Amino acid sequence: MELLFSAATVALAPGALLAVFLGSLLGVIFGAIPGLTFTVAMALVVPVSFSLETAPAIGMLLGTYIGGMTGGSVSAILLGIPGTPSAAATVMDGYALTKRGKASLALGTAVAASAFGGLVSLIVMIVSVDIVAKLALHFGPAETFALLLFGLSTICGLSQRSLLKGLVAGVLGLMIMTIGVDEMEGVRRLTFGTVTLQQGINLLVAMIALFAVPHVIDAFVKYYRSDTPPDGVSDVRVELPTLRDLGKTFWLMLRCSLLGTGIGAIPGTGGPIAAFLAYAHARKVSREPEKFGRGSMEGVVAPESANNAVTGGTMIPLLSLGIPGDPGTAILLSGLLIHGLTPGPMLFIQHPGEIYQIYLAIIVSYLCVVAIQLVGIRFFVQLLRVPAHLLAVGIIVMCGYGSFSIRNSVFDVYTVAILGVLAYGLIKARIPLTPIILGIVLGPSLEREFRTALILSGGDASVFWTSAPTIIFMGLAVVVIGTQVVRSVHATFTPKKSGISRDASVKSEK
Amino acid sequence: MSRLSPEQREKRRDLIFGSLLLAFSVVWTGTVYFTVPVGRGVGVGPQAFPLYLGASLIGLSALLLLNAWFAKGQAMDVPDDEEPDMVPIAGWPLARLIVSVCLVIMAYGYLMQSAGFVIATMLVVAFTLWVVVGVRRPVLVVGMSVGITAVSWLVFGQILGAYIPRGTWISLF
Amino acid sequence: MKLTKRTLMAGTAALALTLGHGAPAQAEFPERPVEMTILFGSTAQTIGQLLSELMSEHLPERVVPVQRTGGGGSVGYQYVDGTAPDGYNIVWNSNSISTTYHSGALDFDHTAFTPIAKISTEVTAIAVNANSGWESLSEMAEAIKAEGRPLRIGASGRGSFTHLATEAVLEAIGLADDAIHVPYDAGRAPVELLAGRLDAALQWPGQFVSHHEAGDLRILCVTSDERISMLPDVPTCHESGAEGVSMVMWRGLAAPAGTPEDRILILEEAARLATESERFHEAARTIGFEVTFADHAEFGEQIASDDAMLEELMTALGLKE
Repeated sequence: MELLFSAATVALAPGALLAVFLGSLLGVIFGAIPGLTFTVAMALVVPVSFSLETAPAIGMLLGTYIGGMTGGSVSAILLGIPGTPSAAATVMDGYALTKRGKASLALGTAVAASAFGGLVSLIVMIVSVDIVAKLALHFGPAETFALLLFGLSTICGLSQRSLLKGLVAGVLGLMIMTIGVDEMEGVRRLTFGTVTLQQGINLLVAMIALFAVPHVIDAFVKYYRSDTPPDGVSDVRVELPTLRDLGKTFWLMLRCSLLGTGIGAIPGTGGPIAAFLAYAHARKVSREPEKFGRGSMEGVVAPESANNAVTGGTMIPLLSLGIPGDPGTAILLSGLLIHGLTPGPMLFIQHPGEIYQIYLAIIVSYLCVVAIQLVGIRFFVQLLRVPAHLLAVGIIVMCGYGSFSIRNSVFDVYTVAILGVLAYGLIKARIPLTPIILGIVLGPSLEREFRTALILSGGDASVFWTSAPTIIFMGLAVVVIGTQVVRSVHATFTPKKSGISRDASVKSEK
Repeated sequence: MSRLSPEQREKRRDLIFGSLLLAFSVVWTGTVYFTVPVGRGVGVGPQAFPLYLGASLIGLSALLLLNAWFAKGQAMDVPDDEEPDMVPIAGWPLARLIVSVCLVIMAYGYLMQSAGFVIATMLVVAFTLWVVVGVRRPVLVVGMSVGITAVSWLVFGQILGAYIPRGTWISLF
Repeated sequence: MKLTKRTLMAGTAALALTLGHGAPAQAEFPERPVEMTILFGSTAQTIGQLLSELMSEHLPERVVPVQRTGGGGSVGYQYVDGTAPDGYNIVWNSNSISTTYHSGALDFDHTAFTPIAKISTEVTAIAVNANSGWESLSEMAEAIKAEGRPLRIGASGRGSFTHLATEAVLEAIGLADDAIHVPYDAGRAPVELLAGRLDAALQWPGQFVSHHEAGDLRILCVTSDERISMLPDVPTCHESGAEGVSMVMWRGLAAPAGTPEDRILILEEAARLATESERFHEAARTIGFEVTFADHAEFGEQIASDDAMLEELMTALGLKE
């Protein structure tokens, strides 16, 4: 207790609070702008943190990480372009809500769910850091592969109209990520002898291409179609969710937060997969599953609470084992190192005070993020007043600069242009884009874990069904894929019946 | 363009897309098979994933084609919720628009590295508004071009301290 | 192809000179920010950022760190190689110039760059689970041979520096044919060791230190000639049974070949002053690297001798292309 008080005097000192606030603000801004993410923001903060004291330095980095994770939902909801990969699942219902004039409500709910998820994961982390870290040890490559495969099976649920096209999309996403250098064998794949292609397709670049470029083309197309220039959405009332609205989804938020914490604790997974699994879960248990994809508030709550819970989850292996779970925590790790805090089992023994400072910084950071966003929503929604074709020009600049700034590579901007046009073609061919993102996010880890598991077992494939976690996740994946395939085949052979029942469900909703 | 029923349009679209996809996946699989080494040692090597993915895409696109071919004029996935798919501009104007957006973004990237962020952004915004979108209000075009450039240069470069490419040709700012 | 690109670059540089600043040739270098290309993330990035900040204090203009990652460093090398040799583009390089070239990822080698200064050295370490009971490399080698099963040893991907160091150690202790290299990235090795899925791992010691102190893992040795300041009680691999092994990774600064020598000297001096600062030494202690400044001449010799050594090693391993 004494330790907590002394930590509080350090962590809650004005300078430290200011640092956390500035970090959170920076994170929200970078997260909210499509193309710029918290990874870039954190890389900017690291040199600043060199010259700060330990508490403000760590607070600033944590604030940037957390702000960035929540900020990603802003452009996902307002523009349908996820600000970070973790917010890709939020697009489906968040953007649908904006189209129905409920942008501010969706933004407010997303912030509340984010903060809830983050704080739940912090509590879980404080209480059970040792146990969870030990459990995470049981997740070897085979187990992680099974979990990722289960995550990938949610593709079936995301391909709303045609299972076949959803699978096509997922496979395309997985394929894109095999271009470049195969890190495991050091082999160049599909680089056609060029150095440029050795960088491979960056996840963020692919995301900008898939979501932003079609958005821009669409905006221009609509501008051509209409005789009078559109004035954007005139109705931008600021309406925030009440506690009562939030209370209704309390249990969903809690379940998704725990899910996110658990997934965050397993190295090699991360925010996007947590968000998609939470989304799939929410739709499964929802009383109104037909609303998903058309503007369900639950479809925003679930991914947002889960992806922020990942922040607390990744702290567990980071602090107790010294293992960064995603690029954000990798930068956090070097920030900790430079201030003499070497994560690992000895951190809790040698630096208990700093541990409390980290906990407090996370709490303060969430408070800052909620405050910043609640104020910010009033300004964010004004974006919708900007005529869509003019906004689209701004998006081109953001995405061009954003994709360039990831690795300062012109190749990435070219990739955005080409993949973006292809993505527009895919939309016209009614191929859903979300499974592509899922494939892109999971592809590299899926392949790496699969191959590593086989190397460890000496080529014996039975590792994939001999431990408890592998049996569970493999089983779940098979069940999900199996039922969808059966349903889809059934629908193909009796098309009339399913057509009618679909019409009925649509009508009953309206 | 002759008037087609939604079902026919759907069928035609799936046939075209399926064929393109089939061609792409065959080329992909062939390229992987001949250029990526199988790898050595235990387990599966670097070739396995891209190869099997390519093979599955061949299968999936074949299924897509079969599905479209034998579809009994039944619209399997007519959009139900979205606005009706009345293509506002099609054919040549749409293609021109798509290609110009693609070229604008590529030119932006090229100019950013060579001429620097400031010049690239001003040019790209003005060009997009005037030529691609067809806005004919000089005040708006110049205002947006200078405005977006100034605000983003100030916010990213000066306030947030992010790296702003200065260009290799000439170094302004 | 390369020639025309170079000519084009020179042409545009000349154009820029006439267009942009027809400044007097005597003007003090640098008169605009110097771009330092950083090839990797994590600690390489952090050290590079700190170095550029400290160097800026001793130069009239800033040194700006710019991330250009990908392809194990080849993307950034290619970028800097394509810039004008005027001292405004430098690269935060490492042995990766040799490994990328010899693996066939790049079509030019270290001679495309003029060395500026060597800055630091990083040393890899081998760790095992403390329950294994192995106290040295020779004990490990004996136990593995007695059990008659392959040693599962983790390192980064094939052709990476940690993998090459692993192979050098295995060769020296006679386990080259009785080991399976398990490629691991992003610091996963400690978990796999703790969980018992790996027998040993060779990685940067920062990942192991806390577990070593806690007694869960044991660092058997470090791959350098001499013990390192971070782990004074840990023997070298040579002492531990792998005779003659000496694998260290240096980091330093280089500019495209043809950069005027006076500019190289200005940058070298700024780098020297930066490495002498207290903040740099403190970062070395906390991040875990050795400050080993060397001037451009000495650095050039080391690059050449390391290149020959790595070429030989990679040829022996069949990694040379």
